[in-house]
Amino acid sequence: MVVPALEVDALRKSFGRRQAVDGMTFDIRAGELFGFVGSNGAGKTTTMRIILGVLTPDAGEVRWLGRPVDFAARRQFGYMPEERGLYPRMKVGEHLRYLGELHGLPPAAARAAAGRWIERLELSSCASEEVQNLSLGNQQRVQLAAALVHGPKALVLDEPFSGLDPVAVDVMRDVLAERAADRVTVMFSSHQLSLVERVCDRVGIVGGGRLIACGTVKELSEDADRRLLVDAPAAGEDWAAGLAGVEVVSREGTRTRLRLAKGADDQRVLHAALATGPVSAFVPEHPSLTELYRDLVARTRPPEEDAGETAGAGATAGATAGAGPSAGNRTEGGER
Amino acid sequence: MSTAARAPGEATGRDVPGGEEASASGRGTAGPRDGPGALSARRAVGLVTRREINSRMRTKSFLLSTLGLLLGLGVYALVILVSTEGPTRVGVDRDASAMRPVLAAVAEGAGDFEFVTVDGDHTDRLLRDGELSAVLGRTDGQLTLSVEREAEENLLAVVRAAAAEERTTRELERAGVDPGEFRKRVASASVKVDAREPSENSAAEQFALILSSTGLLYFFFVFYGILLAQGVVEEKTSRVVELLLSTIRPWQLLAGKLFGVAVVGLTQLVLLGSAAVALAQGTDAVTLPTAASGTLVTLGVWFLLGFFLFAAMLAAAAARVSRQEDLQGVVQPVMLLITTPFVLGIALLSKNAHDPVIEWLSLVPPLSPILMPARILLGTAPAWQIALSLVLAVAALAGTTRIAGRMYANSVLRSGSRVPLAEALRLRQRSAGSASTNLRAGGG
Repeated sequence: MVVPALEVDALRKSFGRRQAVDGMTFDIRAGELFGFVGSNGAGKTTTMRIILGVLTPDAGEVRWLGRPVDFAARRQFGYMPEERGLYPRMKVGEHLRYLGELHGLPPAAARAAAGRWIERLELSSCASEEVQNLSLGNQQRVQLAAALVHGPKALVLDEPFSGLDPVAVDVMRDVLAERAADRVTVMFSSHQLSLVERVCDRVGIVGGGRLIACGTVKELSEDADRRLLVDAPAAGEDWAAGLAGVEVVSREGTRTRLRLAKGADDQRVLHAALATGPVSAFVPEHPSLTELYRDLVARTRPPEEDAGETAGAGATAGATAGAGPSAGNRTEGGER
Repeated sequence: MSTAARAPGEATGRDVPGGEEASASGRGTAGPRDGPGALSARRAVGLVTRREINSRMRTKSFLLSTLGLLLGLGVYALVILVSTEGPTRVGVDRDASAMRPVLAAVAEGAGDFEFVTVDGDHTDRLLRDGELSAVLGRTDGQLTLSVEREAEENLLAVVRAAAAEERTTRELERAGVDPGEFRKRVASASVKVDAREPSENSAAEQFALILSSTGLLYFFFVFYGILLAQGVVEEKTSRVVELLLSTIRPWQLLAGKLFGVAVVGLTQLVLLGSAAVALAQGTDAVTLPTAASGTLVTLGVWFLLGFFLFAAMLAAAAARVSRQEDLQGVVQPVMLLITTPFVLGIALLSKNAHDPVIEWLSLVPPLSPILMPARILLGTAPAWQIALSLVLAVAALAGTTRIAGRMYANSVLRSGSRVPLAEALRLRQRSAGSASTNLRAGGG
């Protein structure tokens, strides 16, 4: 059995009357890339800040290698805060060396590590520039280097990809994959779901301060509504109408994309399609993470309250794979 | 035997832990493998201190402010040098030339005067040109002092004394008394002044000393205190504090910042102080009661004590806010603590350096770092008072840093709106499920 490296257990945190995190539970194994997705205010940042000890939870616990996270454990973490955190007037190389030494590296090792990450993240041209004079994208690379310079055993990165150009995204992605391959536990939040799908081993979807789904994209898609692509050249506009549990997602020419609710019979769909004439394609499709996410958030959102960005965890949350403790009747939204 | 011979070559290959670590950590893209080692508190504080010093000393503003202050001192010195011209030249008309020996004798010790004999015809021109400050003449037995606008008080006193002396001598001679004998007898009846605490400075010098010593300290407390407070807020604004506090303790960060800024401030203070002391001695403008190095040590010690006292409070106050714009509001009460003794010191000390109120106030900590050094420099503070004020200041420092450290630790990670004072002061009961749930927090 694989022992999880980082465990987040039933965290709760409220700001005044606002419940930002409400029973957040998940775990990440060593060497795993864990994507943390969810709408704004779902509680991602608050959770990460609790893991790093920036915030104290009202209840619950974070464990590292089976023991409650303490100061010594946190020193093995690398953190990239949502609002970037560096001294604006410090030079890049100097800054990285300083953070390395503060994490206990001897001066020579800190210098070497800083140099290595500057090179790896393609920052050589601005190593002696002040942080404030860099472009936002480069500042972000420096921020990543700051999280990596002490060779952490776990990385907690809040929106590392936001605002990066495509090349920088590739560099960032490669570096994270490398770290994971080096047995580092990597957790990051992002709104770029296609990227998360490509990069992450597992994904946690957050809504209303708790995890509403968690697993590999494949696991998530197995649990979600199935998709079918049917190519029936002779079929009319509404050949699929009237089939129980079947919804037409889109039509492009002769091809129809369908979504099948749980329990819907795909063989009846095939029969209906054949009834119109020849069927040149009948393919089950894997939904993308984006589609899964939309389904989940739509499903968990209370029907009477669908305005705004509040992603309240509805009563159906308990049905999703790997979710935390079964949902209550919360209607209050999460963090800002 | 053969193993021994091969040993050197094999040792490196077999030395698995060390060898692997070394090669792994040197590997191209991989981060350092040898994980973060333990960081002693001293090293943590030292690292923060070094960063503070580097980032502050290397800035243009430090260089410019030091140069600017030195320049200010230089200009001040120049003004003093220019304003102290040579002796006051007084012309003595031929009619009054008999007065010269008496004038010279009286003027001895009363000021810097030079008496020259002039011809009555040119006196007006000489006065107008400023060659002479005054001309003493005699018309019909009456001494007249001609001046351009008004007579210098010292000179007038000298002339009057000389006239009286001359008249006395003449009257004595007329009465048949030997003026020399008379003078000797009068002199023997003098009063000896027994000053319990002799003041070594004139009133003007005292004022200059008070102003420069308290002023310099006040300036440094405010300037470097605010600098530190801004640094605290900067770390909060940029969120770098979240990175730092995942590896070092809040008190270590605070201590490092305090030490760093103190070193920078002390450097500038000693630079300026030595320049000022050199100036004071070079121009003879002010008599310092102790040796120059003693003055500097006094200033330095009290700077450190006062700085840590005030700066710890300022840092604790600053940690409550997240934006520079909000800083003013929270540091205001602490600034009042620095300003009050300065204003009090100037007002009371300059009136009377031996004011008992000042003596007592200068022993008490928030006031002592500004008042006591001024009294020491004036030479009016007895040793026991100095010792007592030092002990009290150190005790206050110990208490203040404890409270300030707690306030700092409680507030520095809470971004958003201002942290309420009560929460900043709260004893650290931050464990799960505690009071923090229901407290209104601005975070987000």
